[in-house]
Amino acid sequence: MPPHAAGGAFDDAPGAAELAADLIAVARQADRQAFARLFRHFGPRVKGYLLRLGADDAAAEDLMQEVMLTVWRRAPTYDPRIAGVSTWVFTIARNRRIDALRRAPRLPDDIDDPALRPATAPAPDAVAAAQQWEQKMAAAITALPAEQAEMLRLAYFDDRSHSDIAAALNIPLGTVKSRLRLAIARLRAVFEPEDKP
Amino acid sequence: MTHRVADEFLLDHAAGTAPEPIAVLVATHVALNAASRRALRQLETIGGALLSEVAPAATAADALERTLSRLGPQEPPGAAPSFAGRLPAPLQAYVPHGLDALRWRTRGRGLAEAVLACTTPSAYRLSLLRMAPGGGIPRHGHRGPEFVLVLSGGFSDQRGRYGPGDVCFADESVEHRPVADADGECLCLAVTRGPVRLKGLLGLVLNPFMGA
Repeated sequence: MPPHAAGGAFDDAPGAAELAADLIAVARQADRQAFARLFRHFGPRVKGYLLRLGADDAAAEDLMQEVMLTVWRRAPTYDPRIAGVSTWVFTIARNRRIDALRRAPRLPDDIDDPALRPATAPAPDAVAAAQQWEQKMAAAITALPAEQAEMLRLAYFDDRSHSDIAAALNIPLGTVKSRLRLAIARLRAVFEPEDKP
Repeated sequence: MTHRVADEFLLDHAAGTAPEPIAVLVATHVALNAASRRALRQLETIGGALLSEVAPAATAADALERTLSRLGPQEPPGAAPSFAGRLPAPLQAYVPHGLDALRWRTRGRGLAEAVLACTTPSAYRLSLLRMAPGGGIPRHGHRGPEFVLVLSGGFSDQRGRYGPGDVCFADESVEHRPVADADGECLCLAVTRGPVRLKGLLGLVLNPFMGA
């Protein structure tokens, strides 16, 4: 049983492969039913993420719908070799939240220049690899020591500087930084096959 | 050897919590450096995994229906804005009319600076620096982190040489005097915080500007 299935909330969550299949159906056939499934999975989680970062309910609802509209609009640009579906949606949610805070020109969602990407269709094993990283990453996070996992969640879900986190938890700034460093070093190990030349 | 941004700053960038000037500099660095790009992607994968375990929040009863009714055309693959012209994509919005349209101010011999407008308040300032061949920034110390990212050309300080895509990072413990390569102009993106402590006579001339 996957480590987080016991909580109940995730029992009916689709797996990474199903999410990827739905996103590809949205990209290739503008499949509205596949989009609705993605919406049911990601909508409540994206909204939960935005609430966690301090948005009020109405703002989180509006922004979540913006995020899901972006998922629809940009689905054909999704490159499964580069990121798993949850990672891709996470970066869109993160960027739209920053756009809303900045009231500024939009951030580019691609960190790669699309013109530099290989034009060939992605190999099926490369597609599977990105989804597998996400699953391995989720397992690696649950295996972290509690104080490292807590620091990681604060870093991603609390819009506070490391020194503010240190002050709130009444621990030295150096401890915050070393826990984060240790956590990231452990999680990076998930990617070791990729990092070998 | 390449000079990359420390994990600490990549993490804040992946989490979306970096102050705007640092976020723009890190995004530009990442666009130019493949190793940092891969490191950032790994940190974003952590974000993706954390998103999966977020407690789902109740959405509006008609949320799906409303979103479905707003679905419009989709972007064709590869339609995202590309690195048009000289500047990497993350920087383009901050230099909308090109480098020559910016207000360049002389900061001393062989150095000009153009401050880029950010829309959120922060303790940092974002600017472009233009160093003439052999020019540079007078010797200075720091009261907070300073990042200088090379966009074209190159410069050196006592710790090494920085080329396109490299970030020269300095904090309270560093005092340095970046000097541009002799064979051409060096264009950099810089993030500075608070008044920079300048040394020597030239410093007196520069200080009012660098400390704004």
